[in-house]
Amino acid sequence: MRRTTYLAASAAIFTGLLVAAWVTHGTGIVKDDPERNIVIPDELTSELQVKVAYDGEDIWFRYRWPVERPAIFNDVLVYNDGKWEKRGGEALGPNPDFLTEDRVAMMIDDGSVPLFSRYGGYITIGEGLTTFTGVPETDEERTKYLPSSRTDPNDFDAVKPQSDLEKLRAAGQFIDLWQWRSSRSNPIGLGDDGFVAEAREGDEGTGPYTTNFDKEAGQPKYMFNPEVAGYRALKIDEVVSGKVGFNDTYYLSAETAVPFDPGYAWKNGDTIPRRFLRPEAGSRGDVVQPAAARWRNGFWDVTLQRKMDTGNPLDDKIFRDGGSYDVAFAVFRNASTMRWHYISLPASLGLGEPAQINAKFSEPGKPDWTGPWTEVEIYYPGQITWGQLTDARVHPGADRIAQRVPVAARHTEEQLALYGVQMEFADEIKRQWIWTLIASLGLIVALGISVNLLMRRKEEESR
Amino acid sequence: MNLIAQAPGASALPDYLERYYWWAYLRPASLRVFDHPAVVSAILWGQYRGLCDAALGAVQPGKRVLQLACVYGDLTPRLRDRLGPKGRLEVVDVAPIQIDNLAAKLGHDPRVALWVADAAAPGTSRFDTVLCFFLLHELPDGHKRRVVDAALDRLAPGGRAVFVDYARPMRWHPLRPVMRAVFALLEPFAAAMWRRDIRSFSSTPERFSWREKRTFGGLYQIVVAERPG
Repeated sequence: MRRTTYLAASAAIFTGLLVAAWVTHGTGIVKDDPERNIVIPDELTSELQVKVAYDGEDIWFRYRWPVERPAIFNDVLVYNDGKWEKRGGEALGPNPDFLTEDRVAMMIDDGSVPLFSRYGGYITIGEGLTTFTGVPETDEERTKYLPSSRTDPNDFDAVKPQSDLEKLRAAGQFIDLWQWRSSRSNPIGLGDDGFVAEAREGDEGTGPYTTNFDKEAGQPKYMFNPEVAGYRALKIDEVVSGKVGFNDTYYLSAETAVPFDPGYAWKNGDTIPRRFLRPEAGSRGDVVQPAAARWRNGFWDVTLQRKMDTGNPLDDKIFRDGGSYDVAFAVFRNASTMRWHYISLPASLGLGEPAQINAKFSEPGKPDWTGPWTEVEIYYPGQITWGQLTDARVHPGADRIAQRVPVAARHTEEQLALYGVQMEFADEIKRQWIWTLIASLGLIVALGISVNLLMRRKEEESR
Repeated sequence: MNLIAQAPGASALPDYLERYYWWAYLRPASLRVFDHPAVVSAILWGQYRGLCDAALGAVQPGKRVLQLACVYGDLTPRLRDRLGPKGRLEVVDVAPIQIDNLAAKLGHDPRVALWVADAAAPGTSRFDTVLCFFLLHELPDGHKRRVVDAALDRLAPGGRAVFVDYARPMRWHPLRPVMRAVFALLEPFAAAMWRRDIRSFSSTPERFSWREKRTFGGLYQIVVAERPG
C-alpha cells in the first residue's frame, strides 16, 4: 500500500512537472515592456544598400532601404480646446501615429579611432545613456561617447579635462556622424553633420531645423502660408492616416510659412509642424543632398553629398583619393534616436583602394551610380554597452576584445541581434533557466523513484 | 600516516582520461561536485548503497585488499572499516588529484597505502580481494582487457576479484534509452559493457571460477572471479 502511494505520488510529480513544462514552454519571456523602455521589433534584421561616388572635390553616399510607409512628420503641434499640444517626436519604439521621422545615419572614421574599425558603434555606447533600461531621466540627453573621452570609460560623468579632450580631437579621436532626417532635414534638401567624441553633437554652426513653438505664448511661431499651401494648418487625422504626402505642403520653411496668426479661428485637430526648417550654417551645413529624397515603391532612396575636404578637420573626417576609411550605418524606421534602430557592423570604404565598399571615381559633379549596390546587413542591437562587452563576467568574449579580435570575426549580424535581445532580458532568462533546472531535476528524481519502485516490485515478484 | 607514492614506472595521465573525463576526475571542482554519497547515489539511480554492500560483502576482515581506482562517495572508508586490525588496503589511481583527495578523506591509517599508478599495472603484490568498482566502463576496450588481466593476476590463491559495473539492461527497462543517451554524450567506452561480459575481457578466463549477478533490471552487474586455492 505504501509503495503504491509512493508510486502514485512520484507519477503525480512527474505528470505535474511535465504539464508545467509543457504549459510554460514557448510562452516566452521576450516581450515588450514599456515600463523598462523595452520594445522589440518584429524583424530583428534588415537590409541597407549603399553606393559611394567621388570626383576629387565632392563625395556622395547613396542609401536605399525598405520602408513600408514613410514617416514624413516628426513632432507636430495640434490645436485642442484652445491649446496647442505637442504630439510625436520621441517615442517608445515605432510611433503608432507615424509622428517620428525616418532616418539614416552614418559614422565615419579614418583610422584614428582604432577600436571603431573592429567594433563600430558599440564603442560609443557607454553606461547610463538616455532611454536605457533603468537609467533615470535627466534634464540633458545622455548620448553616445567615445571611451577615450572618459577617465573611466564606464562612467558617463567621468569626462576628461577640456585640455585632454582638445588633444584627443586634434589627434582625430572623434567619429564623423552624418544624418539624414525625413522630416527635419529632407524637405529642404539637407543632411545634418555631427560627430561623436565626448558626446554626440552637431558640428559648429546651426542645424537644419529649429523649434516652431513659442513657449511663452503657448502657440506656434509659424503657420502654413495659405497663399502657398492653400491652408494654414493640416488636419491631424489626415497627418496620422498618411493622407498628407509629398505632393502636399507639409513642412514649414521660409518658402512655405508665415508668422502664426493667433486671431484665426483655429479648430480642434488643426496641426502645424513643431519644427521650422532653415538653411544650415557653418560646419554643420557640410552635409547636403543633391535634391530632396522621395520614398518610392517601398524604398527610401537618399543621397548625401559633402566636400571631400571641408576644411573642418576637428569635426569632419577628410576624404582623400586613395584613402581607406571605416563606416557604419544606422537606419531608423519611424523610430526615435538612440535605441529603436537597426545598425550595421563596421565596413571598410576605399577611394581607389580595395574595400568592402568601393567608391567609384566620377566625372566632376556627376556621381557615377552605374555599379552594383553594396548590400549591408543591419540589425536591431538591443541594449549592449561597451562596458558590458569588455567585462568578462557579462561577455565571455571580453578576452577576445582585449586581444582586439574584430566583432565580425566572431559574430554574425543575426547572432548579434539575438544577443542584443538576450541582454535586454538577461535576468528573466536566468530566472527561467533556474526554473527549468529545478523542473528537470524534479523530473529526474521522480523518474528515479518510479523506476526504483518498479524494479523492487519486479524483483519481489520474481522470487 | 597513509603511504602515498608514485608507483615505479607510473606514467602520465592517459589520453582518454584527459580527453573524456577531465570534467569528472581531474579538476578540483570535480571533487567538490561529485565526491558525495548522495551525488553518486543519484548518478547510479539510487543503487549506490546496494552495489557498495554487494562489493563489500566479498571483503573479509584481516585480508589484503586492492582497490583499482578511487571511487567517489564513502565506499573506500567503508572498505577500510571492514579490514579489521590486521587487514591491509592498497588503492591505486592514475590521477594524483584523486589519490590526494582520498588521502584527505581517509586520514591517518597505517593499514592503508595509496599509489599513483595505472590500474593495469598495480604492482607485484598478491591480494585476497581485488575490487574494481565502476572503472571498466570508463576505459577503452584494450585498457579494459589489461585491467581485468591485472586484477586477476594480482589474486592470491583462493582470492577473489570483484567487478561492479554497468551491464546491458533488460529490453523493457525504462532507463535504457536514458542510459544510452548518457553513454553517447558522456561515456564513450561504456557501451561495450552492454555488448560484452566482463569475463570476455580476461585473457585466461578458464583459470578462474566466475559468478555473476545482475541487479536493477540488469542495468548493473556484480561479477566475482575466484582463483582456485
